[in-house]
Amino acid sequence: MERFFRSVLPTLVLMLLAMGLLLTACGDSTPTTATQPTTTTAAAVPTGVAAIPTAALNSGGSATTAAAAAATTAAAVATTAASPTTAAATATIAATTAAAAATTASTTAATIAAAAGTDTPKKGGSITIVSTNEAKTMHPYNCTDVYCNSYISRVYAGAMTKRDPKTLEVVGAAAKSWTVDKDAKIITYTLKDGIKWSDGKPITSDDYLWTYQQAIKKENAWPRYAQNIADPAKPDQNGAIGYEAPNPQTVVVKMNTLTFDIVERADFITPLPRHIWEGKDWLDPTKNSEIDSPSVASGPWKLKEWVKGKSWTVVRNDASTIWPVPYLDQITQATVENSSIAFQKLKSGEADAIVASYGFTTQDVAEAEKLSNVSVYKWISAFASWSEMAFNFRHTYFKDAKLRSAMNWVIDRKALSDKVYYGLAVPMYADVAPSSDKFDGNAVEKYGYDPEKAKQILKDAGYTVKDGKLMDPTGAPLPKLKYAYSTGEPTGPKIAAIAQQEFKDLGIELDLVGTDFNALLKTITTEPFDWDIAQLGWSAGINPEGFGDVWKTIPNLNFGAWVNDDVNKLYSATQREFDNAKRKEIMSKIQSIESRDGPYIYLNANTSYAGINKRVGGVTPTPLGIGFDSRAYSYMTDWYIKG
Amino acid sequence: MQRFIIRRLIQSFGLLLAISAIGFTIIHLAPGGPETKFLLDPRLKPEDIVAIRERYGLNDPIPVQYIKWLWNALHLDFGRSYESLYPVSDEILRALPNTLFLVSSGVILGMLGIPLGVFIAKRRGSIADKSVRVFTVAGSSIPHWWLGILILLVTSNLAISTGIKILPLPGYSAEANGNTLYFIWQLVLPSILIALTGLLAYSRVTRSQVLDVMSQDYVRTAKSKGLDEKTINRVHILRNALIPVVTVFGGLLPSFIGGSVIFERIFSLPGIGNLSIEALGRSDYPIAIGVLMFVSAISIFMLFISDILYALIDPRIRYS
Repeated sequence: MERFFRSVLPTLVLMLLAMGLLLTACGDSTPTTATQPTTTTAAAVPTGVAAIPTAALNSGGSATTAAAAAATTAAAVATTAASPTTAAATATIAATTAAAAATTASTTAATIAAAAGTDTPKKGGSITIVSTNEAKTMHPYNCTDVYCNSYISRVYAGAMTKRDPKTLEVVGAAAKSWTVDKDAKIITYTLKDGIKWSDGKPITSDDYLWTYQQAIKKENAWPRYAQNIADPAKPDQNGAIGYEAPNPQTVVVKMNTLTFDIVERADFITPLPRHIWEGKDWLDPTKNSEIDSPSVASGPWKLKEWVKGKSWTVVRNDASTIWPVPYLDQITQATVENSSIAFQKLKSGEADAIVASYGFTTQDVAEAEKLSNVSVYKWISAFASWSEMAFNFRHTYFKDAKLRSAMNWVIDRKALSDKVYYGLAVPMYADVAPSSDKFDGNAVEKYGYDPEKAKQILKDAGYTVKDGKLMDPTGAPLPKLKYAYSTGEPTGPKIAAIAQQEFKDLGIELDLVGTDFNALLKTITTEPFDWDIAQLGWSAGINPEGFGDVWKTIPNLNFGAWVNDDVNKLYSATQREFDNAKRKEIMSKIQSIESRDGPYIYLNANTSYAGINKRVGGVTPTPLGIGFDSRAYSYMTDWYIKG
Repeated sequence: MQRFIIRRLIQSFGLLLAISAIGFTIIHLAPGGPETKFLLDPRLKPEDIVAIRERYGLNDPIPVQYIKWLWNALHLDFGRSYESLYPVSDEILRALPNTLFLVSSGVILGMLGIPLGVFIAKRRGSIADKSVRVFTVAGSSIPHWWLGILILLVTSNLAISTGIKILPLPGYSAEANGNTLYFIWQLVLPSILIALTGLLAYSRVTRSQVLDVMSQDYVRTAKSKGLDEKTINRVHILRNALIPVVTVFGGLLPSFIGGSVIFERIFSLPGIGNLSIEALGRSDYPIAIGVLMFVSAISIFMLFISDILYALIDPRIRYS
């Protein structure tokens, strides 16, 4: 007993103390301030005019994997967990909430509500962005993902057009004007006066033409050659068939087909400085240092240093002419592979910004909102990633729309949003994300959670349940369904488990098959198509009209081989329709069909979000984002340090 | 000995060849490919996919691809990264210093396990012995990467709430940019964690070996001859006890490199492990295979060295 008091007890006390210290340190010990209610304002937004059809598949999680292009949407939400003094000093776009956007997307949108006492932006200061992913190349004609795109687009400007973040119209970037000859399918861009490289040399149409000529050389192996260049012998092929520079300010592009988004389709060349690049190797960075360390820039930023794998630093291009000259002196993007550590850097103030696609996870958003040094911005992006459960129509049982409808009624989209996405998602009912101006809440069947209705639909259609198993109208039992999903995203297994539970209630048994994303793709796109339901996601394109290409591409994109001639014809019609209002009508019809007789159980579209240190001002959430990534409207030129 | 070395060299080459064939096949047969990221972009034309596969020679049968790769590899051309366009050797050389630093500091710190093992063996049953044993059991049961994240989060939250900065967060810091001391400070934790593997293994093996040797007849004889303690320890005990430790060392190196993969991810060190994981994730085949071959070659070489050390330490061992 004496020994107990002499040795064991003090040890126990010490251990308890150590544990207490550990728990205190682990917990959120940062001083917090009360969250202010979200400001909500709604206003009409002019619809986007024309754009490149874009969509990219993802594994159904929160990560956005979209390809390039600009945007069309309606709603943006800015919430800042700010203390009164800093909140007053922040200019934000306040807009509709996610739920409101889902119901009234066509009429809701954003207005700039510049708060009283706004800071006056001034030059100077540096910020650090933290990201879990790093670019691998700076070569504009070898870059294949959003990470290198975001590096490149800050340094190389030169796209003829961009989207206005407020009106979402196509406006000039490098081009001051353009004309379209619809009969000849020719677009003539006129470059802005006085646009220059950072070394003072003018940016001329010759730079565009030379870059085009290099990019299309077979030996230069441009990965997006066939996407942008058409074969004139094939009249249906989209793409350019001619590129000319008749004078230093004019670029003429001849296209093979006429589509409503021809102005942006023809705008595919990011010019490289001919006077620097000519004579250098196009593809070998060991022979051409300009590839990874460009000495001149056309964008708002110039590369200062790239320590591969660690950090990437750009400084202000004071000679920026296409984009405004930024306020900040310097931006460093630091790579931190682990998202917990990345968030910790934001908390500690070592990093100033982190966004969802750069490793800011939904789990951390709630904690970030309580931090005194961080503002959380939320918005519904024009490129919102959305998720779905796709049916495999090679199996006859899925051809019955009644069965699919019943399955739709047992998926609780609200619960999925709350439990799986931490409230950062809005329901979906067709190909068009609620953020788009083409979304029509009245056209779609808005499936709620109603198991009784689902059972009634099945009963009316002649289905019965025997020993807990669903029998089709002929009395044959429905087989156990193979439900394929990706384990790469934390959301994958959670949604799969919910689906398994809910479908079981209808007598439908699921065999959950979780694999990595590449294996999932192989399963769903190759013979023998051994799957019934696949859980996947897409990143919305700026123009939902472009999604029609997905249905035409069996099995690589249209995995379940869903064929609906009406939908295909309607999508084709959108491509030739230059009137936005008429395109919207067509899109409403498509959504009506898809939500009732569609290929998917549409689930949710993700809300975008970012955590930014409160010392940074000028951060404005728009449907095009906050000026951050490759599709940004500002490339952080409007960010500044407060005070 | 010469014959042994020649035989082992031939064996090593054969082993490398086998690893390359198996590794090449597995990496190429795995789902995905450099074109996968394009496959999902509806704007991309099938012609582009075909062109990408053609460009990298991925349309050939795998044996043909392998033979082409092998032929180039024998000429020390391991290809170029699909992503960065740099030669594989450049990418490996860029990543190597980080891994080398981590692994070598791990190996050196891990060596402390040998004196520790001797120390506790000589004090068998004492409190020191018991505490070290508790420590080794606990240390072996806890995943070191998890411990790493936990320590980082704890120290970082402590720094946020109290201002006491014990350990820095990994990765770039604007305040300490270019500061070598800060970089070394950042490496303290990963080095200790990676050293733990060796430390635990060495101390356990050394302890049991020393105890075993101490009870041998020749040690008793040496003592009865009146030899002093130091000589007995050095010549009779340590030298004999170290033989299995050398084997453990040879076997541990691959696990050090393997362990560095995880630590490089957590501590944001762009080393060989990180390079390999990213290459596999992005189907950057030349890098993935290049790293595999590089790590295999080093591991085989180290095992080879430990075999030779074996003979040097123990005169009874003669290879023929």
